Amino acid sequence: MDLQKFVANFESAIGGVKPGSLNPGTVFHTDIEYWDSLATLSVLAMIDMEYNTSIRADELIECKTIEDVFNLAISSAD
Amino acid sequence: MSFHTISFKKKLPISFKKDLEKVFFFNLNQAKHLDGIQQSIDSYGLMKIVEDGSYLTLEFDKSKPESLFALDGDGFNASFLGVICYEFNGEICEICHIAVDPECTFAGSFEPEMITYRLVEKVRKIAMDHNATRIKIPYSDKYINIKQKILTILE
Repeated sequence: MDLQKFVANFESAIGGVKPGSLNPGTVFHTDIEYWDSLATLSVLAMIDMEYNTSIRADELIECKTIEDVFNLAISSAD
Repeated sequence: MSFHTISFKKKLPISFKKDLEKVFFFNLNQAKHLDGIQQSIDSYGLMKIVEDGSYLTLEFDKSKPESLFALDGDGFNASFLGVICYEFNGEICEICHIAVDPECTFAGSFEPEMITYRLVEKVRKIAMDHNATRIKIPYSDKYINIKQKILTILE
């Protein structure tokens, strides 16, 4: 799994953000203006579709940054 | 962490009508999804609250989806928390609309209860029993695999 590609997929999943505006250190709960539970569901769907692995919403909301989500997805894929 | 016991009802007692109207028609959080809600209206029609005896259900002009209402607790002291509407289209379970009390959303006092996720997880289990393969996320063109567990807490 490639971190930069994951960030791009994260951006695409949630929509409404300027391409290239997010980075691995983005604290998505607070830095993304329209972050909400539907954005969480979209990220779950993206991880399942793009990486064929799954994480739960209660796991994702414990993450702080996009890189944390990336690491969670990697550990789930193992 | 312990969670509140949430009860899920297919019909909402009529005493909750004002709470339901407030969440559905005066919910500022829905402004984030105006485009998606407009697409939902295009697909399903305008939504209306229907009185069915001493209960309330939700209908759209073009469809009569199933509804699931979430209440904090049960009985006379219960509080209305939110609702999810869904229907089946072949192997797809489409979530037509979802609305929760603003206190249940991010930064709300009830946020830790994860009401939106509990509603979606409840629908996922229902959809599994209907042999659905995917769940369509509301106001988007994205899908969740039916095997994708949303969360692990109890109802």
